[in-house]
Amino acid sequence: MSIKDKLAGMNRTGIGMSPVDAEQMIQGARDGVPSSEGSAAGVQVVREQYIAERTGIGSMPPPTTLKGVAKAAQALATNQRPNVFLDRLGERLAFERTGVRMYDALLAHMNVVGDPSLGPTAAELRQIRDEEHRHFELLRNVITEMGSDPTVQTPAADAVSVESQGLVQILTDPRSSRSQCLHAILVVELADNDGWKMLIEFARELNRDDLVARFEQATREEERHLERVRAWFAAQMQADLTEGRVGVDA
Amino acid sequence: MALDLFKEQGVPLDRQVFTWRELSGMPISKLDDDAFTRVRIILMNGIEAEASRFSHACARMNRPLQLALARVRRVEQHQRTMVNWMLGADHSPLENTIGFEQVAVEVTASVAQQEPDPYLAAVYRFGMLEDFDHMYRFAALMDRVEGKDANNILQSYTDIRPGRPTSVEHRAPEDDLRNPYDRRTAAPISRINALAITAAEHMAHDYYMVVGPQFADPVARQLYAEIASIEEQHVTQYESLSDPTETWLEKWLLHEATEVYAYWSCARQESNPRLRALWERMVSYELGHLHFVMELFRNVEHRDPAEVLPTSLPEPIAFKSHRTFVRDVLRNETNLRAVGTRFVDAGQVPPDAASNIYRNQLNKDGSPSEIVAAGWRWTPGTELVNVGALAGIEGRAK
Repeated sequence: MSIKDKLAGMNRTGIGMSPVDAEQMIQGARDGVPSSEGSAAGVQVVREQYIAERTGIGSMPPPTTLKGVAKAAQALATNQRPNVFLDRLGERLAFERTGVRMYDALLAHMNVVGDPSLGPTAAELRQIRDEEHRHFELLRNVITEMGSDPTVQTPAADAVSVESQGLVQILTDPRSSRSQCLHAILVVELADNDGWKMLIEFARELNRDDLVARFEQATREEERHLERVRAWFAAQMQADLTEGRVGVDA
Repeated sequence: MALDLFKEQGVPLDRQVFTWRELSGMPISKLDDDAFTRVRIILMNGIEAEASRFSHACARMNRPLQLALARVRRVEQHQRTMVNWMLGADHSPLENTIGFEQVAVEVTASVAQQEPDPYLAAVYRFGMLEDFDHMYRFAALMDRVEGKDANNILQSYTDIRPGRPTSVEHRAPEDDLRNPYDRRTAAPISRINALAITAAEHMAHDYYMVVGPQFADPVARQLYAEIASIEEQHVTQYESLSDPTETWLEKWLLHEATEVYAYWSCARQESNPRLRALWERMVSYELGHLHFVMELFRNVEHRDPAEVLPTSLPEPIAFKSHRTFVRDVLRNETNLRAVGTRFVDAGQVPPDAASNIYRNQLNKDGSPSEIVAAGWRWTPGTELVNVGALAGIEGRAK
């Protein structure tokens, strides 16, 4: 087998695969004349027009329980803005809940194509997934204790669910390789780490030391998740490098 | 206030104009707008899509009508755009799907209660229980794949629980056709209802066929394949309700009347002022189309549109929760199956019936709708709220 054969795949997307047609493509484009003057700035102008008229993706609900009304009134009296905090708690809750499902999806991959010598093992993944589940529970409890409704999809939760869609797609795609899955879960953990740190800052601002302690525990666990995922991804990349694997596991 | 279809002229066709900016307006809020605002958008997108589908078929069979059809169709293309673009990009395909099924449940429930013909009403109830089940399956998918709660979309208006199980909804084509109404004796609302529900189901079918392959998850892809197949059956069922001896122009007139009626229903109940203004504009445009087609009907068929159309519109579609009605139907009719054009108890269907053979073949390698919802009950905030929700997955892990 020649070196070229060893390196060869079937990818047809680059112009290098069609040298003759590529030249024609370039010539054809050069001969065409844009129907209007300008640059990509025109797209920015339209975006800015819409942004100027924006209404936002949504808002927080009013308190729906007596406890919620009382808590909100108490917070406002001390010049606090509980909705900003609740919005971010809702975001973290949504992310942790989807995170559990993302770890389920990763577990399915590793059950079939996992390599115990590189990690993660199923037991390691289950442990992280269960911790994400407990974090979801923690957030539900905190939101409930604050007199709010943990089933609300808050604006930040909505935004983060849109952000997560691509990650879910990679992790649920049976064609994704180990390294592609681990990269996706690395993005999850990076975002999760910063998300928890932000919650701690919020809790400090609100003088909620009780919450700071609970969130710090979760943050320590998230930091461990990140360390481990980074290590698994690095090991996988090293193995791929050694074996010359791109986009496949075997 | 009643709307007199013959007196109200609406906006003439040549004054129905748009800009791209208008067509791509600011979407509604998924979080803050009422779920029925989304229901209305999805329904009206479906009704406009049906108008376009009919218009193209009509044009292919009627050379002399082609220009008239093209003129109206162009406006309808833009009406549809303006309406459908009201759905924001934060609606995921699965969230939109839950919206589609809420349309199928609540709008069909409204139609089933208002329909004067008992056989047609039974057909709507029969189909409604199937869409009701689809919503339950899709909600389970949303929970188990995306970790999201379908009730954020439904806003507690519509129950999430099994209906007639999707796995038994698969029928041979001969069991999907129904008896049509008789155009000479049917009430105008019966003719309008059939078109409106056909439109809603056809749109759901087309939507699932577009978004199904956009999912990566294999169970999601299977479930969309399965439910899109049922929606194809539903289109077959509902379109067979319209009398096939209606002339092309008679059908066109009925389509326009359906559009006026549906937009008028929306305008009367809309809580978002911006959308209410949109629906009102669309009513006036559709009245313009209706009068344009009335004129053609008089000139081409030398018939009086009053033969086909009611003077005033019947009660509007009730855009509200029909929970009690749906539960009653669920209690009494879940066990019905179709045999030819009739509905019978499941126990009366012979094991070698064509639908059983057809269904067994499709379900032979497993039923996606059963797999996705195995042991699943809707819980506020997803099943992960339940302690031990992960035990099932735990049990099968290596």
